[in-house]
Amino acid sequence: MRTILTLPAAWVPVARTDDRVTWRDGSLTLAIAPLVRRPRDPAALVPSGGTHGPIINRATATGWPYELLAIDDRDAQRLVAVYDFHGDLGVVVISGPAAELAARTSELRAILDSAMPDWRGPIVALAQLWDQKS
Amino acid sequence: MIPIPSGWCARRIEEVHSFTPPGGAAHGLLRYVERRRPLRATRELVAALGAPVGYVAEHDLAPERLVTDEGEHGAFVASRGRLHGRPMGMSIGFVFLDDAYASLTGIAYDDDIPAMEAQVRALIALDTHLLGRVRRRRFGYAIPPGWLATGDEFDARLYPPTHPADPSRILVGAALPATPGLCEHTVARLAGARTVVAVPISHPRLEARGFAITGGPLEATLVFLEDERFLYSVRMDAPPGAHAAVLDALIASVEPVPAPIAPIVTSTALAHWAE
Repeated sequence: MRTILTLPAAWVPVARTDDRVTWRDGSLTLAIAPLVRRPRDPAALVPSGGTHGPIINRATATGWPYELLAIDDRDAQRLVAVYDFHGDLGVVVISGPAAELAARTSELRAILDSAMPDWRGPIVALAQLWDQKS
Repeated sequence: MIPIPSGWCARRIEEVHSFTPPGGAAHGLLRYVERRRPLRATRELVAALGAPVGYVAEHDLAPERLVTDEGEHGAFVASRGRLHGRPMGMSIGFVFLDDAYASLTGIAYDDDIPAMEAQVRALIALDTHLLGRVRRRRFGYAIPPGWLATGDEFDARLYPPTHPADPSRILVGAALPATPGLCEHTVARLAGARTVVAVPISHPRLEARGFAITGGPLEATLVFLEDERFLYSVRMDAPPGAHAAVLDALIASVEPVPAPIAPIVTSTALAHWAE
């Protein structure tokens, strides 16, 4: 279970583990973490370190609420989006040079606004047991 | 538990029961595990089981649905290929329980492959778990195409692709033992002071009743299907008039819980104690 995003073709997958999926486009990296069910401390999902900017409340194109936060490190900047899919929290982190993140703000916002939950994995309906699609 | 085939040798190491035919492991091997977790789609379970190192599949059969004699759902999967050049077949039977599954894996070589596939099919149908003939359990239905599905072991929550902009949702409960007054109590409790109207609904094999609770931005439609053993309940919350065809299709797809077709405990149920 994780967040799914609509990514432009320039983004290419570079790593996939049980823990996260990572994509890259030039000097930008985008990491998608698995959904976490109602964590006791949601703030712990946000990467630590750096200088945290204000939290901006946004919504995806289909209305899922999310919080957007910029974290400034010395060498790079991170955009952290924390989605709330009916209590399943999804975290997406886009990292890269501050100048490139700023130059591509509208594109990155569109990516983050495309988020949807991918709840596949755990069986919640019998039909999924025989589903042949991955 | 599965019956030990006559003449086969049984061993148990931790949770794995192994069975070898009278001619020895050269003619085949069965491995049975009664409880595995987590429950996942058959294709994922097959992938997780893996295959012997060096096995090259040449022909994989698509998973076949099955129902055991006890009335539990399951699947049968077979693969034929070669192990270091020698013809080898793998056949796997699964029995899906509420939150776990049993697996039976058969491996055979050369001319023994068809007999092993038949053996796995026969044994998995006889697999017995005694979880109770009438209990809270999932029932089959088709998830509306494109809808998102989440939930837990017994209750599913389905959302349209444009949710939450479209606030609609469908809740599918577990099949519950048929109990007098259960539907009426549920409708009355949910409605409170709102208006309840009967909704025409039908199902090819189950007695059907439908209710609409009106008076808010979302209309709640409750559908109860019933046979002599179980009550199947579905609730949709949606703007008035929305997704009626989706709900109709889901209701039409509901499959009653399978009934047992044979005595579920045999005189050989404790045969493994003698091994």
